[in-house]
Amino acid sequence: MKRASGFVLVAFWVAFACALQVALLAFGPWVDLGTASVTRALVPDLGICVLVAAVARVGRHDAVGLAIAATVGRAAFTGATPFALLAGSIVVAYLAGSLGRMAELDRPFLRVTSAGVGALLFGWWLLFVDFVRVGEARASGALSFGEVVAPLAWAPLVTAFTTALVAFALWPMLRALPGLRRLERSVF
Amino acid sequence: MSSRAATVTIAGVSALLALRPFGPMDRLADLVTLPSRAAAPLGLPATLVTEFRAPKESGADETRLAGESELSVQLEEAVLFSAWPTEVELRPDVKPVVGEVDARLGRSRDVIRVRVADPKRVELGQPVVAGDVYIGRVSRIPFREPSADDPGLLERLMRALRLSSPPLEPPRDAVDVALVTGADQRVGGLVLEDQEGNSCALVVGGLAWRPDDVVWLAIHAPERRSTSQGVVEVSEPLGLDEDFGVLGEGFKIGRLRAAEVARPDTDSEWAFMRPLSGAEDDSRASRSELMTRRIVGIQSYIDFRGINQVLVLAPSEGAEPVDHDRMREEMPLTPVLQDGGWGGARLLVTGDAVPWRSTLRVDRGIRDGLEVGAALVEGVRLAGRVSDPRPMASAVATVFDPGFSVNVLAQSEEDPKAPPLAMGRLTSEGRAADGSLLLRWLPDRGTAWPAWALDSSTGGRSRDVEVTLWTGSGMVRVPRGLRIGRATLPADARPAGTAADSEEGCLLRVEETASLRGPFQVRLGGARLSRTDALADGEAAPR
Repeated sequence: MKRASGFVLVAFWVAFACALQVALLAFGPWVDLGTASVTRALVPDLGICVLVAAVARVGRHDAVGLAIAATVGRAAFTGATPFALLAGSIVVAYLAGSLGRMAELDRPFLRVTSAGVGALLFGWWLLFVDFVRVGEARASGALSFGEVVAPLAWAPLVTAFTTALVAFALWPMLRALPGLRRLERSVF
Repeated sequence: MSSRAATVTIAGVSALLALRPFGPMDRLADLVTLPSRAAAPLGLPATLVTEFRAPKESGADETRLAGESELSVQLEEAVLFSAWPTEVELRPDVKPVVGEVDARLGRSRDVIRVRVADPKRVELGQPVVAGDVYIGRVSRIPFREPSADDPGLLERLMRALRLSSPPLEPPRDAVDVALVTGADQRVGGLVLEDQEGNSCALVVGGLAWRPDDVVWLAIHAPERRSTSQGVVEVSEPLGLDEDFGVLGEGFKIGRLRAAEVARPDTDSEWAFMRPLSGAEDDSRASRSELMTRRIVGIQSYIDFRGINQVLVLAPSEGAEPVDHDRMREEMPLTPVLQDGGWGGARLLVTGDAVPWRSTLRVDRGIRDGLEVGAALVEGVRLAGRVSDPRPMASAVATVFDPGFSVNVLAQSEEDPKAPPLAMGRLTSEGRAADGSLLLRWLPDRGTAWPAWALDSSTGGRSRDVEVTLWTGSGMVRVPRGLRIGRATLPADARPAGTAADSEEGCLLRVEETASLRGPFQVRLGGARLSRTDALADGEAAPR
């Protein structure tokens, strides 16, 4: 029960982070297929930051659970499909967990790397999903949404950079988010 | 299985399901993410900021809605009337059946599905016209075909366990029309007066070969080989009793034209052609002379991709001549928001955590009957289409979402009652810095745009035309006559690929679009409901 409430709290914090991210995006330029969307990508992926911080506390063995919680939290603020979010979140969580096995994720270089690379992979994965689904829908004459053009490939790079900066600067706060302690397993 | 293997497996399966959606698993994912709806209030700041930044318009909302609804009715009236011939006279024994083009099925461009007002009178082979132009004939009536459902043992077991369901019956009012552009379609034609004053009978069907993708109808077995100009009309005088071809007599097919076009000038083709031609040298002049070919074809008067409303020419049941004028005046006309297929929707969150998408979420979902593609409107303005319906909420791709595409009709602001221009499918490229919508328009070769621009201009000179853009027919769960916004169509817009314009067509800047503030209504039924009395035949009423 204690751990379950921990996962619920992770979902809440990811949802909160995504809500904040969407609010920041609302101040940015409008969406387009070119430079405006790349500029919008300066807003960091705060949901990824929360997920990586949670993995840092809990470890790789709970990567799937944390990814599901992150997917539930993120689903309220994006039109991407749940399975795309889940697959991306698992990869990010597993990557952070694997890095955390080598050394403490609290080290600046590792937390910056795990959050930055995680945001990059997550963004590119969502672009790839849109690319495949739109391409197939066009080939079959089915209904599709979203568009992928070459300039957008830069957007996840920009997001990755700012996400890494946020992970570097706000790590102590992210690490101390209420509820994460509930997920820790006692060693003895 | 180790924890690591399990994680990799779950990630792999999720990735596969993201790329290849599978219905039951999607439903499962919907259930797992159900609690996310509770997080919607967190999105309030984003919604408020978006509302604050949206371009403001003068005037009260109620006045604007009333004005736009009136314009929508005028557009609908113009579209309905555009299906009726103005120059060609309908035979007195023809009682046409009105039909609206429904969503296209698959990728075939040579077959359109039409929802007709009186399906009982429609038979296979009956000619179909749009205005004065013959477009094809009825090729299939799905509802009358025997059911192809023959479940095996496993399927029957699945159905008994409610894990599967029989295929849906096709709508009673749907008929498929094979366009004359189809390779296997043929119709008799007659050029009343060619360039030499002679008449010429010929057969029309399929597309003429052109290296530059210009849409010309092909001609076959012309009576005179020299005929290369003139107006081609339907002429099928030898129709048999069961042949309805004679009902379409006199309708126009297009204008016969001839052109010298260059064949693909590749070295390999030249190497093949040179010995056959007896050309003495490899000079550019002799090569280009040999590599040109004379094409004779028919340029249609309409854009086959932009057909919205048609008439099926069915024979009259009675002996008395049909009063077509009266039929035309008494066509039922239902305003787009008053056909009973709409339900209110409350905005949950505006904006998307993915920076290159523009979506929002509303509180209506699958439980309310929402399906993918359903239109979301703000007044009579199109705000978006449902992209991901979930049990109790749905994601909506807004008109500003890059890649959002929509069939568009342009209504001249100077003469709203004139027949609108079918612009084909336009694709959103997001928003400009001033908040206006950017729509990419690729005028098709064979488009009616140049002629329409001339009609909408004064003094016989084409100029930019101020238009209101509306949704056209042919989209799933998006009815015709929803306002997209105001734009200026540039006079120099040319079909894509011509020298005068680039492959990219032109980018329209659309103003007075949906503000995404609400209040919203969402489409709970199909694109068409009671607009042509389709419910009279016992179909379930929409919710």
